[in-house]
Amino acid sequence: MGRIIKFLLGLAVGAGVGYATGLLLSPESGEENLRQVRRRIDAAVAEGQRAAGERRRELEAELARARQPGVG
Amino acid sequence: MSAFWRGFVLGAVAGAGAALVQAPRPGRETQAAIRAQFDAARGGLTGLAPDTARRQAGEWLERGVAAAEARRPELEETLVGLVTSTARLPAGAGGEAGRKTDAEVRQQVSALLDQVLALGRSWARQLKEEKSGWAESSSSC
Repeated sequence: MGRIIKFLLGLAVGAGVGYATGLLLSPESGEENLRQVRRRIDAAVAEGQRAAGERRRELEAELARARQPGVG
Repeated sequence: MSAFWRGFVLGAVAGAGAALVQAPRPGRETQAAIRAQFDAARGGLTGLAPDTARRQAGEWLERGVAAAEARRPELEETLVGLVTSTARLPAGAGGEAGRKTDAEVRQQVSALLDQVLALGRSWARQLKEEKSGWAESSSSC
């Protein structure tokens, strides 16, 4: 049996097993799962933006200090 | 890792992901629904049948058991004859020529008949009882 056939067979069996397991162990309905993932991604993005803004302000303050005459 | 298992892992990940997105309800509820279906299938006939039909079945079973009990000596004789003529029984404690004695066979047949009749009586009683469901009583044992 060719490698590709074996691979495809494994893919099909694995997909079936994985799908059944997912249905049985799903923490919530699919819709709710998606909503939670989306919420988590949104939160991560927001946190990233907040951290970036903070860092930007820090750097800007540092730059301003560096540009002040008489310093450095 | 062979090609099969590489495909299996990939398929399992993809399948699980698809299931988590498509799941119609939480996994716990899916499990409960499947369990309920099995229970319903096991309770099947008596669970769906109206009480009157169940009691009727119990009545017939009881009558059958009673008929068997009425003709018990005959029945026992037939069974013993059947066993001794056809079955080559393993050597029993008292079997001299590597075969069980007729008395032993008769005793065993009698005990078996007792059990079967008792089982039939208990089933008939369960079926005739108004409220107690067949499924509950059979799933508890």
